[in-house]
Amino acid sequence: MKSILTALLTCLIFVSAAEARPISYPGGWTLMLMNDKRSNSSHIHYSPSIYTSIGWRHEYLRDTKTHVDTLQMNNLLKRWNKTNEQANFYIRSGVGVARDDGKYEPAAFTGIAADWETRRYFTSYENRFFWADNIDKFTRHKARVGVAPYIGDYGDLHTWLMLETEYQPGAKDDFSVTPLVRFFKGTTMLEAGYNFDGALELNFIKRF
Amino acid sequence: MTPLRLLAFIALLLSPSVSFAEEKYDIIIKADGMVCDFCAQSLNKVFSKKASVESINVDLDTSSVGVHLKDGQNLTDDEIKELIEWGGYDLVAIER
Repeated sequence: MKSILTALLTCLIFVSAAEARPISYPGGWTLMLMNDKRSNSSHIHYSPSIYTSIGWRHEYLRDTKTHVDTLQMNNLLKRWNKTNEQANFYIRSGVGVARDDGKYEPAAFTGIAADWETRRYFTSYENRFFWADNIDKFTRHKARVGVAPYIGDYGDLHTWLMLETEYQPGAKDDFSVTPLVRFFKGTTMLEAGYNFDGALELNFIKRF
Repeated sequence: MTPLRLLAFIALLLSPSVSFAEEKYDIIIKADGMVCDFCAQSLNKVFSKKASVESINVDLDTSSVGVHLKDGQNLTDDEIKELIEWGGYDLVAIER
């Protein structure tokens, strides 16, 4: 357990030193509330520079009824800017504590995320390797494709229609598909979806 | 509100909005990677921290940023490049 924690901490430190850019602007705060069939999470982070963001994440894992609090670091390792398109490659990691029925265990996660988007099309992939000693361990993959039904100007209400697939080997209902609609305007984003298994997905992001 | 002020207010409401192409800017910057205004908000934040900048306007159609400078102020090309890259984009051209 100690060796795994050491490895994850080393990874976190290494990642923070790597050349990367976070999404948020320097000095910006971001609040992210995510809810899907497997978990509810709230994550607030601060970007001290364009290279990284660091924050606190609280998550409730429904399957194991576990609460997880972690210090999370996000890093943009690479961005590709082209005329009318952009692609990004991130790594996200966290270390903290999981609580299950009064029992506390160390917890950690890491994963990569990549996206490519134009003003019309969007696609992304992310994975997450989660470990909480004797409480829970899982690997999760998510991918999305999206299309904007209209192209809004700067400052308009933007709308996206998206399809998300999720695969978590070993979990109950290990594969799911969720159609979503995403709205964003200015510094606020809201998205809602209804999974084919009947579960609601509701996400909210606000930047300050 | 006096009738004159009311008339001015109504005229202001009825006047057509000025598009990015019609507006006169001190500097127009072209940049790559501007695909959504969720991320382009960063340019507003980054440029607004410069004392010489009065305001900016982003046009996603032309991947451009129009900059209004305060009277007697200037932004060098190096400063502009730094601000654009700080905001997460790649500088393509600067027009003055």
